[in-house]
Amino acid sequence: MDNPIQPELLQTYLDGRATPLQKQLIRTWLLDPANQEIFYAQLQRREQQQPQLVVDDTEAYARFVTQLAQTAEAQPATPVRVRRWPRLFMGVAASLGLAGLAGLLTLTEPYWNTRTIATEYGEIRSVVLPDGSRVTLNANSALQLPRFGFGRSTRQVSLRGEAEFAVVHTPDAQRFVVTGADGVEVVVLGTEFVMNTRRGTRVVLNRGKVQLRYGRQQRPQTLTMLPGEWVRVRPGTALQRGRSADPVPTEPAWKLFRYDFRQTPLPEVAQLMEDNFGLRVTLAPELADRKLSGQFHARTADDILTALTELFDVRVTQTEKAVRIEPAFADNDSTE
Amino acid sequence: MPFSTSSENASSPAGPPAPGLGQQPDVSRAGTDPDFFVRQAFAKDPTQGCALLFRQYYRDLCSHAVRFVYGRDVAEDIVGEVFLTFWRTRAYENITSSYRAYLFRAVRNRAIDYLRAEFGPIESLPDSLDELTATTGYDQPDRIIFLDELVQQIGAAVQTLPPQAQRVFMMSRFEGKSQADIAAELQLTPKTVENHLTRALGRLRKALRGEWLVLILAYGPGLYLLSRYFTPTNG
Repeated sequence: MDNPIQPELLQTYLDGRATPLQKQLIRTWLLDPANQEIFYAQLQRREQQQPQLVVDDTEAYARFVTQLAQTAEAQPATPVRVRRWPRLFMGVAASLGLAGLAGLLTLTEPYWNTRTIATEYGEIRSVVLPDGSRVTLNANSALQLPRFGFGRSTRQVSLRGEAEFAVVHTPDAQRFVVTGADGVEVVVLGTEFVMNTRRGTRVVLNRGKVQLRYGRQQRPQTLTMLPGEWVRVRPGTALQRGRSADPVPTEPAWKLFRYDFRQTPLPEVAQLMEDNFGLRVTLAPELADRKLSGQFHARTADDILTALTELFDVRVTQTEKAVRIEPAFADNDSTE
Repeated sequence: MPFSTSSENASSPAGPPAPGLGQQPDVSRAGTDPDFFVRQAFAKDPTQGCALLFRQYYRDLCSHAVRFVYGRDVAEDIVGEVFLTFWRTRAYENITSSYRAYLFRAVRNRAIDYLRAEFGPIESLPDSLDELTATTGYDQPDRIIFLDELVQQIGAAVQTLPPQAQRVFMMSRFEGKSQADIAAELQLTPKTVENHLTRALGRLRKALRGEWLVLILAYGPGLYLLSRYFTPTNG
């Protein structure tokens, strides 16, 4: 049989200049595997005559040998398996990675999902929460609440320090829970109360009704408070509960930077200054049983200290963050 | 080396016969069979056989692959992988065609795999043709002709680009330059460079009639390696 396909025709074809009829000829001719060999020979010839790319085959061969060595060491198995296990491995690795990430997010949830509102020493701040409830933070206090979804799925906050809560009642009667010290919880629907978590948890109820949960987790106890009542929970001591004799103040005195002292022992006043102004107060032992009464307006610790020096015969020595209060007798003696 | 190997085999009748090759006919066929020495080398030491094939075909295979993929690194990767597969699967042991036909076919198939991975299915190249090829061990003539036409379409697509777009495309694909580098060198804004590349890839996609978004080709080499890693393919 006469072979119509000459190398020239194949080159014409490879250059894209073959007519449809010529292509048909080549198509028929290619049916014979032996002709395909000729075809590929012409294909190579064209790449030799018209190279599209200049490559460094010495370098490529070195690369190839390196890859071969790696293959021989690492993957003696059949190539099908070689391809399959990295895929599985990648899947497992990806799953593990995702699981790890999820775990990490869960573990660090308190860090990224918590918003903290804090006050400095001597600072009093009022904030309105997303649900409309108002919280007034006394100095040196912090309120933590969830960053997302507060008021929608939960109304759970925790308090360190002292704050007044004016909780609004939601249409769906959602509970508002404040966690204080030692796992004490105040559960309310809508009410006004003051909570202090310094040295135990003290709650004073102004209006409405709250439920207090305290005690160990195994044996939780609850009590319901009535307006005007105060409760103090402190680990290691019995629960203290009482009722203010006077009409309940509509808001705590500290909210207006006011301090109401009624026969308050001086150590308690000293503690208050430390709580609210960050001042370490050292009281001379002779002063421990002195009591203070009266109303003071104090924006800074100095205001209280000035009042003290005026009311009592005391001498105040102040360094950076520490104050020492002692009787002024010694001084008087020397002057007399 | 191959010369001494063959003469040893020919002169010592006690030597183990190479698989599929008789002793005496070898010598007579050495003149007509271009693969004779390579076959001998493979029988003795496959690595040596690969080295011979590498020297003989690597450049031409790269030159051919680049007509499909228009990228230096991609083309070299494709050819390198063909050789690796050839060696790993011991394909040289039961090869029915010539080494040349095997290698060129494998490179063309891999180039098509690459284009499919980048641009999605090539509409005018139905899978049925691939299957036929896989079962017969020889290419269907339609498939061979289709591949050559594809090469011409790709070449034409690049050639009809505006000169500047063409230059940007070539610098990106052949000189491995980043878009920022190209912008600096040609004194173009990065946005212009990006537009040129997008247009060039759009032309290619049209040429392939693929349906997938082509922007990924801009980040192609990395994705290509990933796709190679995840999809098992024959070489």
